Amino acid sequence: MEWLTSKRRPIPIHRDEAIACTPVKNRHVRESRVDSGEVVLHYPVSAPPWAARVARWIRKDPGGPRVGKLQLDALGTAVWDMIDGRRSLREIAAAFAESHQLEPKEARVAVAQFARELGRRGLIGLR
Amino acid sequence: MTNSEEIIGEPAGWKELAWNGIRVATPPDWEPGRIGVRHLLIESEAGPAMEIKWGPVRGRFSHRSHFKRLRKITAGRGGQARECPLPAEWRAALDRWEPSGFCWTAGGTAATGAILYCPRSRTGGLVQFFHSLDDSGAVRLAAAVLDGLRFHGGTGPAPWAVFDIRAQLPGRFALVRHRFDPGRFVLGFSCGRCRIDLYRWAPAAVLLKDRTLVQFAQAMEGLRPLHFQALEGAAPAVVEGHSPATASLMERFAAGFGLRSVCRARLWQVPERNRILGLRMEDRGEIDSDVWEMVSRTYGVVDVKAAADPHPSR
Repeated sequence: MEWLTSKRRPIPIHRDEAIACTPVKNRHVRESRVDSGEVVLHYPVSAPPWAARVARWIRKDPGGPRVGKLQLDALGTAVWDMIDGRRSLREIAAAFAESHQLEPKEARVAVAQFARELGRRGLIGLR
Repeated sequence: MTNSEEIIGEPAGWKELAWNGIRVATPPDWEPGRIGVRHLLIESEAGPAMEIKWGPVRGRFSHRSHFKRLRKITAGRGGQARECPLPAEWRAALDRWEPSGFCWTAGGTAATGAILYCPRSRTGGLVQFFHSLDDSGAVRLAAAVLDGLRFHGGTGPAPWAVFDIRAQLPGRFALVRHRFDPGRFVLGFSCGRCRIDLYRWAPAAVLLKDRTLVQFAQAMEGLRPLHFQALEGAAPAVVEGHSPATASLMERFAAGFGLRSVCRARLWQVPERNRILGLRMEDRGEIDSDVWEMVSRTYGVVDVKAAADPHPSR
């Protein structure tokens, strides 16, 4: 009766714990820059399971992995450039606040939201 | 409660926080964590440090019923609140507000607080400080914070100071909305049909990287219908926008009878703090120039004397 049991969702980490984590870039992500200096991230996107099933059902080759693109704005680029696998999100937020004269809390929230968005797309991991 | 313009005895480097009728100075590493209309949760690096709730009291104020409610809330969180004598260090700061002390513990966390009531302004409040069980210095630090706590009596201009923004508004204006998103703060006030919105954007250098302040203003939600123009000779940049001129006969008729809303907005750059500040005022008939002048003169960011300095007054 496994289908009756609900899937266990991963326990979300608390904001304070997350901000202490160190973000690491996904090594499958390729980055390029546009003329303005902003970063464009190219990352592999796998088809959702249902689409793969439909493709199998109609016997159509779903093709290779698709590539998603994400262009960061100037602030996103600044944070992305600070991700070096050594600095924690807290340290990045502090540096970001200082470079843009932001309130510490404001910078922490902005960096945390940005990291969450990148994490959702699989562009970074937290350790 | 007392209406005081100055917080006396505030240690150097402490931050001012003035919000919807209260004013308090907090240690430099404390920041507002949750901001409600009449509720503030202030956090330190270690977690929640202070919570304060307040509100007008219409009937009889009962310390007992407020304590019962508090006990129910803390019980729901696994704590057990009990009435206890007010810490001796707090007496001097709180004696004017008929305080009753309480404390609670839940796991490794404890809180010490007081229920306050000021018969003069008919304001009731609850303030509590969170600390670890063995933190003996927390009560002394709280005493210094309470020493600077003031409630606005409702007369005179009301101060507003949160994060880096500072403003003064006539006391009759009530807070109707507030939003603190990274890079964009909005405070909205109203008094009858008059509305005032304060905006603060950051970082200005990035936001104005490839557009002018006029273009920026015209792209902002809530400001789009206005026609903005840069004020000549203003350095740093200042732009002002007004409602479009009345076109049809009916519009002119409505404007003459005060039936049509008019709007005025001003945005200015504060380069030394990397901010853009905005003021928008809307009213029926015409804008009250006294209120406009007062708000535009006092609205600024920390370390900037007054918003009036970087932009010319009209």
